[in-house]
Amino acid sequence: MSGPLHLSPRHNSPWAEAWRRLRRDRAAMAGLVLVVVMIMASLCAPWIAPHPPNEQHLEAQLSPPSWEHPCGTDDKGRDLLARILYGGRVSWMVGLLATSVSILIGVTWGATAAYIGGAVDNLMMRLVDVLYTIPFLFLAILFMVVARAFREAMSWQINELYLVFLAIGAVSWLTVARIVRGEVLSIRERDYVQAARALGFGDMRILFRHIVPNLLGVVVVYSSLTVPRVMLEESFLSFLGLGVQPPDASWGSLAAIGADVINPLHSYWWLIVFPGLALALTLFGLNFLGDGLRDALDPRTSLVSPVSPEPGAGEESA
Amino acid sequence: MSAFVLRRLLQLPGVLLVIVVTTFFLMRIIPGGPFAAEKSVEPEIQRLIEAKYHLDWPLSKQFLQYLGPFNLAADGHPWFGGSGADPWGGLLAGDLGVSFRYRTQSVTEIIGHSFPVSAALGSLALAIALAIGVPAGIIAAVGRGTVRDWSAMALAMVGICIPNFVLAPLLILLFVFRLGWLPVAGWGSPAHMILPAVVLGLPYAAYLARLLRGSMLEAISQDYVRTARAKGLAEYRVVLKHVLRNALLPVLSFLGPATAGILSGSVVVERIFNVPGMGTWFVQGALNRDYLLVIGAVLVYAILLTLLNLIVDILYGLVDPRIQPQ
Repeated sequence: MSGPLHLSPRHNSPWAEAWRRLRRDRAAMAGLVLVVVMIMASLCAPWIAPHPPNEQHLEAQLSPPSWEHPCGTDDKGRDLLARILYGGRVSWMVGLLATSVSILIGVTWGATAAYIGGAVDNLMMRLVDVLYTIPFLFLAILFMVVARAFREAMSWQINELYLVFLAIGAVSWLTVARIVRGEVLSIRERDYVQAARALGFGDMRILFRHIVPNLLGVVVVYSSLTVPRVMLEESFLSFLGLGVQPPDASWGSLAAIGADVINPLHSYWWLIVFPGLALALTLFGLNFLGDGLRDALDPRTSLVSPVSPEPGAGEESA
Repeated sequence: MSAFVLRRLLQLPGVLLVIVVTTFFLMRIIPGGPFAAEKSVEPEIQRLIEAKYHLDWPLSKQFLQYLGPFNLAADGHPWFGGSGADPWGGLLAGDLGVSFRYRTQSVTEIIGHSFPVSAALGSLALAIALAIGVPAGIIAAVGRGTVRDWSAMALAMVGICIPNFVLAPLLILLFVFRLGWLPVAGWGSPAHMILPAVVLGLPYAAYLARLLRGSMLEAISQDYVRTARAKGLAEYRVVLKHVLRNALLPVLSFLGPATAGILSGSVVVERIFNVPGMGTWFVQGALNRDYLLVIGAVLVYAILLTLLNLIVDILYGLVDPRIQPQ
């Protein structure tokens, strides 16, 4: 131990400290590696894929895995491995963009409600309560149906994909709004916020310069757990025919095709197994990484989230 | 406690009203009505059908007609210039309206025969989730750091990460087509329920196991557990009476959202297994812009979830007397 007034020379920032904790977490690091591999595979699809994803091999329709087609081919004779590699791009895009949308709405909503407080807070959070009483998938389906009808009627030239991530983002922000509201309620009473107020700073400046940056830890943790959830939700929508549309394909829509062609005579198992495996491996990695991030970034919360008296305040579930 | 229950029940109509207003106008601002898909219909007949369902009225009047309790049509309540032959109608009179697509059935009838199907499937799935998830969580927590813990948690993660529409066809391949133990998709006998309920329940078993393990580890480190051990209680009694009971709260609070998830998930599972439940009808209704059917289904779910959350809150107080519902 050093003498008085001598501060530790290795005073790490909270982020460096969190990274150090994360690196010691073997499951989280395995998750990180898995996630990086899956992202790289999708990014490098043009170089890895054995065939172009939409090239039809009419002599080899629905053929099982072989050297020529490592994951087999689909009903149009397209190479499944290539389609999975390219499909990963769509799945990741939906996962990341829908998460961004939901975090953006959730943080703005929760922070505004908590910062203004009073009747506005009450009204905004009541709306969240109401939305909580409708199962997620129902809201997403409604949103997709409405958005599609408008797109057709007004002949908007936008890809269905944008509707998908808007729909998922627009219905997945409830939990983050609640978490952020709770955090802001505690942050706004801290001394530095009081100081900023005493200095006469405007509400917007205080909210976005002093409060929102301090939410970063919570938001990072929550985002990392939201990405796998929205990827799963996209696959549900795609399975129901309301998500990614051909010629685009995601892991979810590929597996959905596989699930549709199953019959007692021919199993065509590769059409389900390989896209499903790609999706499951990615979710596996993301979930382990997210758990590790939570432990690393937020040492206060243990394995269990604190019990909330509000109804349905636990994890939103797909 | 009863004041708390009463206040929560009084909030329900407000919640339902917001849902009805939002869903009604959301479905009605969509370009093209519920009959737009039927292109072969003559314009004159189309007009007659729309008049029959009052689709030619202003939207606000249509909404009031749907809400009730007064019938605003020509044979409706005398207050609104009707003949008085059929004065009441609409939601407040307990009428969920007609399905525009399946015109031989009212929405009440459709929900009446599809809800029991979904409820049976959902309850069985929840039972499976509890029957697998709770023991798995206990085993993992008691054997923390051992092979049992690791394998239970790895399995749980697999259960969470495999989407049910991937798992379902694989199980069908194995148990129906290869082994022939179970009937092909459909509904009617208990054997039909097994696969859909397993597929629906497994991810929640996995969530429950993870959650319970976490909260049990938290409880195990408490002083009262050390006390219980110190006074020589058998280990199984320590675990079941002292640890488990205190670890149950997060599990309870998860059951509300879990039920919501199981209900949502059943949309997908019902589709795969061709089960005539509410999820199937909801998706069809939304695609066909059969908006009264959609509102009816959403209302049923909203009521169900609100009541379930209320029950969970009441159970909270029973499991942990320290918590007073506010």
